[in-house]
Amino acid sequence: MKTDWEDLITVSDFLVMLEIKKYLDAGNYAEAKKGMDILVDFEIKTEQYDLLAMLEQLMYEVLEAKIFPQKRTVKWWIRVRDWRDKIEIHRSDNPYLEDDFVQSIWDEAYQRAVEYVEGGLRFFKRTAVIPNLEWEEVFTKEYKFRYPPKNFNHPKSTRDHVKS
Amino acid sequence: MSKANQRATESHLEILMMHIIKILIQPYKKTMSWINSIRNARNRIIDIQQKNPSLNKNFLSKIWDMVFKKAKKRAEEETGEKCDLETLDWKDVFDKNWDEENPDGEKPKK
Repeated sequence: MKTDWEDLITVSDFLVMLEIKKYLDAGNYAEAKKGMDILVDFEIKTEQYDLLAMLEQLMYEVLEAKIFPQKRTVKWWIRVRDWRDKIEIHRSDNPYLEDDFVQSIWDEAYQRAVEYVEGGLRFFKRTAVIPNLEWEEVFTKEYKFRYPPKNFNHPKSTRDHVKS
Repeated sequence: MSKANQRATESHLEILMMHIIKILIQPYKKTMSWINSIRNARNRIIDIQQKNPSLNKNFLSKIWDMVFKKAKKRAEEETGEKCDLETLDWKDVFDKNWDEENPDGEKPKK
């Protein structure tokens, strides 16, 4: 008897794991491998879509501040740093999410970020040219604030904070 | 994971419906935060469907009424106002641009 792996993964990945174990215990490695392939593919897709969700939010923040420099507040900068940190941690936890993959979802994330910005423009009855985004602007650039508070230091990344 | 994805879909749909109901109850209080929450929830549901095609329109239809009731209750709690809606239209939930109607932030006179 063979397992319908495609069907089982729609119910539960845990059930897929149990089924794989059953086949391994029985020495049916070929069938176990089929289950493992389905499971791995599903988990990778999950992590890829999680990264897309984070990137679209980060790009939205950067686009907003690029169009409206007056929005570059301390709170905004902390949001940007938080998204960058989340993405960095997510990618280090899932090393197969390399730069090439980020490039492959770049346009989709950008388009989604643009839709957020366009929604804001319609809401406030404003118009603006929406610029493109560069890798450096999204991931590494340190921005200047419009009204930096006295003695303000750029917030450390949460990872640095954990280390210290 | 699929059970988790089902729960995640329910959760995103509830947030999506709740913000739409809040706009319908209190259009004069609509904010960009509400609109972005709608857009974000729609994107998350699309992403879940991409990786798990079984959570399609058929699945959403099955949970629609149950999620609507929860969303309506949350919207009433958050706005402090009663909602007379019986359900929400599919197009209103997934297609309509809610950012296009901004009644300039004024509460209507009763």
